[in-house]
Amino acid sequence: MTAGHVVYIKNSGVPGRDGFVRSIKVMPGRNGATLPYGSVTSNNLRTVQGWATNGDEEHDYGAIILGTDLGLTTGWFGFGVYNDATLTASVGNISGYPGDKPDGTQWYAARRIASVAARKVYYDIDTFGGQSGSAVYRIVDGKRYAFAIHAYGGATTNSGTRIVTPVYNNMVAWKA
Amino acid sequence: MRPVISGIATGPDGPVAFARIMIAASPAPMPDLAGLSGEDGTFTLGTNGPGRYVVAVYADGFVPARAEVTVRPDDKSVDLRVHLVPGPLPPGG
Repeated sequence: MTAGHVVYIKNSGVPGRDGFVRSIKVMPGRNGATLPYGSVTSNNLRTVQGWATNGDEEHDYGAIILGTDLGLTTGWFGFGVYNDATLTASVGNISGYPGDKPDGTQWYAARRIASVAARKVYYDIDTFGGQSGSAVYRIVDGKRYAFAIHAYGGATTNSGTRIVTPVYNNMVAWKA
Repeated sequence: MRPVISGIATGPDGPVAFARIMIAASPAPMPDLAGLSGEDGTFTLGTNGPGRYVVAVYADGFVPARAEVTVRPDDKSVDLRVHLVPGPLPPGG
């Protein structure tokens, strides 16, 4: 899973640029020049009409479909739909690749969720450009469950696309 | 169509290719994306309308740089030149 704007460019302001990107190179666990799990390139991408047609940030999510069973080696996140009370009582965790750090290095931050809306989750977990598409996840009994997809950075708050039932159902369908 | 920031990253020897380009501050939340300058050092960033933007530029072997640009209501494209000074990236933390 990733942000819709990672797989499908919308409202770029550049004629001819909007649309699905040509391909994405996935490098799990990259650490600088080291690729512990190798890499897989995919041009099999998914998003939804709410993003591709309307550019609605509440629908800013998508997926990169891999042609290999890479997940059998790396493992994977669980994901789920959680109610408002559970999310606002949760610590959100984000690990990603912020562009203000040495090239290709993974950084992690965690903080309590600030607020939720019907299809958004808001937090001040530290992020920077380049981290879009990271899972925003809870840790329960040592296991990691995504409840949002990090997508936006702002001056006072950052936010992700909340995994609600329609999002969950698309995620299940896309990974099948 | 929304206005764009059209920029070029340069160093002492000319254009800097594959610099990492991000919007570090904007009038409203924006996608948390990072882009790369082209082989000719140029880049184009989308905006979400008029206002003040801070563009951050990082490239291996150069000191990180930030540049401020203001997009006005009638602008379609705003030019930005970011000059990078050689030096190491500071340790993260």
